[in-house]
Amino acid sequence: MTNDYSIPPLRDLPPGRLAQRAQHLHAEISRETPSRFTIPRFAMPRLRLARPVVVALVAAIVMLALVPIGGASLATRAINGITGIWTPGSPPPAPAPYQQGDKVWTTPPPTVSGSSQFSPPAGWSAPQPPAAPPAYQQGEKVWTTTPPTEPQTTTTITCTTPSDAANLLAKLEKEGSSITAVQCR
Amino acid sequence: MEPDDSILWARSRAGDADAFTALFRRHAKAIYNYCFRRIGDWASAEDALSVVFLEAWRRRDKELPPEKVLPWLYGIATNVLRNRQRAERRFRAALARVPEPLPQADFSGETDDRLDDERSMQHALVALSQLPRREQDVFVLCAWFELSYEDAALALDLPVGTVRSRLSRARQRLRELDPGCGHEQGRTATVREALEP
Repeated sequence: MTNDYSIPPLRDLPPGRLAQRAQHLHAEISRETPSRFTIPRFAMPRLRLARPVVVALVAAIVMLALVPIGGASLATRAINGITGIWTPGSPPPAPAPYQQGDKVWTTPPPTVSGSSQFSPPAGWSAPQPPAAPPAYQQGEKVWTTTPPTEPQTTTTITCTTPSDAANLLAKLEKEGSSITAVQCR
Repeated sequence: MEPDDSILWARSRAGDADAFTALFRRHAKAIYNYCFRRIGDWASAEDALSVVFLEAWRRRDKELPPEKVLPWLYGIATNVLRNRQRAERRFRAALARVPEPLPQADFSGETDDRLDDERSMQHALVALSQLPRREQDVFVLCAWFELSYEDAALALDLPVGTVRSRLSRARQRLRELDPGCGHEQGRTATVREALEP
């Protein structure tokens, strides 16, 4: 090994190469697409594998939100779509009281069941409170109506699980019932 | 007058390709020579230069203190050279689009000089390779490129005190490894010169 460790002087790029490289760089960054630069090529297979996993996880979370767990439900379902989603442990905000003349309707306060689940108050959607709907009975099962002071155009009855609610809704719809929403408690 | 680095960098961060290309023209020589002094091959240094700037563009969301673009580019270059295979794989498609060199006037004299440079550099790199990699990084930036401790610390993402201690250890180690190293050759720097604090 020689002892000559001289460090060469600083040099420019060969003639014409600086301009050529600058032009190349400009072209590359101008044509940049996310797939080319922001995701390294070696990471692509991992992303391809990760995508189905993420989709499955999201689907599982959505299912958990809609399906009862141990008798508890996270969602309220109605004919016109989801009418309320709440998380056990935090009651949903109650709508403001409804007033017409000297009559005042208040929303029922959230009630807590034994499984720490909140029954959400129904929302106001029309100026006139409907008449109290009759309770619905099927065999030994009885569904109670929401309090008659609620000024809803849609009549709400309560049941215990979303599957009950779904079955009941389908049945009511088939029968042409005036009951248009089912609240799960 | 060309805007300063801070302005060009701010524009680059906003996606201005012209501003970033202006930064390239300004700092290409420094990074090109840095790459050469780390790998000892001019042609590879030229490709590494492109990769360093493509990588810098990719990381353009980085906020930099005023006038610290060049130290930061040295840091990018250090990482690119450390992970050269991976970095080149990332930009393989871009490198494939580098045009062939244009026909040039004869510059065989310069070609000879460049071959000599490569031989000299390989010898110096053999000496340098006896240091741990982390000390090599500090030594090259501070001794061969005369970066301040603060700039080297920014480039390598290290505390200033760590830069000081690594440089000190590197100098000490090189003296111990080869006390007689370094012969003056014209205007070129030597490892011996770089050993002087």
